[in-house]
Amino acid sequence: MRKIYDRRALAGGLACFALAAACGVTMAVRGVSVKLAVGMVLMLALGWADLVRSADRQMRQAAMPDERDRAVSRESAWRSYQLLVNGCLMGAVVLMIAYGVWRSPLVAAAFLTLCLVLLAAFVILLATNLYYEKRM
Amino acid sequence: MRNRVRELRTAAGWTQQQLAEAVHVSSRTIISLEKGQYNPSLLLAYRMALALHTTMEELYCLAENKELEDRAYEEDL
Repeated sequence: MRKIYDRRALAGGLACFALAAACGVTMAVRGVSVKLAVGMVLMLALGWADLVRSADRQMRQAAMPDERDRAVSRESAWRSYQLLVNGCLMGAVVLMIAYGVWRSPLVAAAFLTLCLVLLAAFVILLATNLYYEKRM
Repeated sequence: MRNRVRELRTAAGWTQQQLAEAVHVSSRTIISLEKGQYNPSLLLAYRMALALHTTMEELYCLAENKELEDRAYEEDL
């Protein structure tokens, strides 16, 4: 019996095998189908890879991020959020000017959509800030 | 932040990979630390000081870095 180092990979592997079994049972009941056969083979391959990964200590260690990886991930996530918001903001300003010039309902719809994206981004940022203010 | 990681590591005869394994991080982290691009957590700093048989003050030039930061703060005011 091999030791399990990654329980999440083990659970993933077992889930894949269960889905492969479901594909097999469906084919047995309804007849052979190319989609189900391909799905079953893919699920078996994924499940096998996950099971092997779950029992491999070196792979587990290699997959674990160290503190610099986490810092890089945090920084890049924040930078991409800022780029997205600034891009939307610039797009909204351009669309607002375009609407002023052409009075097109399509431009107005695009402008409103971008405004809603910006509003959603702001609300999500506010909520996550409040969450972490209380926990850090 | 200035540090003496490379100096003390080479003095101890260790490779970056060996030090990385000793303190449970990747060798890329050690490279970044040596270049001064990344500041370690308190625990990693302590682990590295223990591994290199020195103190955190020595390894990360804390007195010198504090002096530099204080000067920068005074200039900003």
